[in-house]
Amino acid sequence: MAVTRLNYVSLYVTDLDLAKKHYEEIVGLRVTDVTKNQIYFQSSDSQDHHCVILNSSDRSGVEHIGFKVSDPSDLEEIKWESEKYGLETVTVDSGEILGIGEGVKVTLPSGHCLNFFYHTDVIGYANGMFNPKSIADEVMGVNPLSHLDHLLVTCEDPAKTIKFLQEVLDFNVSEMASAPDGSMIAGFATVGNTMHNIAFAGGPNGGLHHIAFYVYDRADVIRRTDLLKSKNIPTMEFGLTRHGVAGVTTVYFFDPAGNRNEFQCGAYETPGVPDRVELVTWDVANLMGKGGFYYEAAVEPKFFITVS
Amino acid sequence: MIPTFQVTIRAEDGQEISCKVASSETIMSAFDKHGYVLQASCKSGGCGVCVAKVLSGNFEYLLPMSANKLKDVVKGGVFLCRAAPQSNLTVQAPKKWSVKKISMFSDVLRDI
Repeated sequence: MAVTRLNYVSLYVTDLDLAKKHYEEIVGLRVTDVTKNQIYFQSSDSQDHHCVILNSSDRSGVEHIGFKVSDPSDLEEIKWESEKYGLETVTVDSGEILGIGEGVKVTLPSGHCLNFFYHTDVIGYANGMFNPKSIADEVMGVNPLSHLDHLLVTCEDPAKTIKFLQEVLDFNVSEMASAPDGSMIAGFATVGNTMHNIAFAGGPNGGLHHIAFYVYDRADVIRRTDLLKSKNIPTMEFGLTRHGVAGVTTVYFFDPAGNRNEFQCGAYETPGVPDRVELVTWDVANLMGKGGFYYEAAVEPKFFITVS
Repeated sequence: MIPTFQVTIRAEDGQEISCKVASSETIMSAFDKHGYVLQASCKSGGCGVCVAKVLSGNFEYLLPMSANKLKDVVKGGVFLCRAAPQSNLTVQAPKKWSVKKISMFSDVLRDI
């Protein structure tokens, strides 16, 4: 059994039209499907049906998160193991979520719902799947982004949920923040293709701190910051900066429902084998300083408490 | 003629600032034009950082708010990022505003 990659995030938004405009024009995703209350999006350089689902709601935040597994038989195993661990699971029928096959939704101790599934419809790269174009269409001079890279979510006890992901689902932990007694207060978990796919930090259960999109080079983060300013996005948070954690160049901003987004580039590669990646550790003082914002070496407390 | 009301924000130390705010604009953007930067984060109704306590007056939201955050707010709370006044309004802000330096050119943008 292997969970192979983060595939999509399903978000709540309080105004579907405003959010559609944001994810199409600012983030630069393609609309791949629409229902009465949902819109599905994918980046130009990912083949699968979607990487973001927007759900019209009276609230903002994360609805659920989709992870792919390596074999259809993994679903039964994940259901059984999760239930044995004491977690609630729900079977998802094929097509219940557009563009993907059947799945198993597991509610983590943190309150977040993960949907594990095997099959996804393939829509192809935006450049085409037959004799593809070499240059992708830009949006206002900004290169297309690569893919949905990760999420940072919040819960009251990050160590508890990370323990489940590590022990039962073979997630690896690449970086963590530790309390003075060595216990984990924030953990960065990965299924292997990037430094982290999902990270857990202190905050309300079920909370969303941000979703992050990966761009191809650090200069693209500058261009995207320029795009945010040129579109007068009033909700860019701080400016272009660098995280000590993962070593990425990054910029944060918000969607019209208050869900925080990130453009980033430059994470170091992880070997991708569970238990073979040594852990990088930050103590709390440094995580709040250079771990978070390397240039500023400090940031306002509201960055850590603003969750949707 | 768009109705305009007097909105007063009181800090916990008793200091007050007051501006005319149209019922078609948000309190936060109106105060920003006058050089007062109110405490905020997402400015999109999703995080609750900008919440103040209504002492008197009425308001309405110009754009949707997250119900998840509204339920956490005590009765009589207002999210300043998306609220517009419907009468003269006085609120108590738990976090102090900061002041932007205003140049002579800013006067051109001010509503006097």
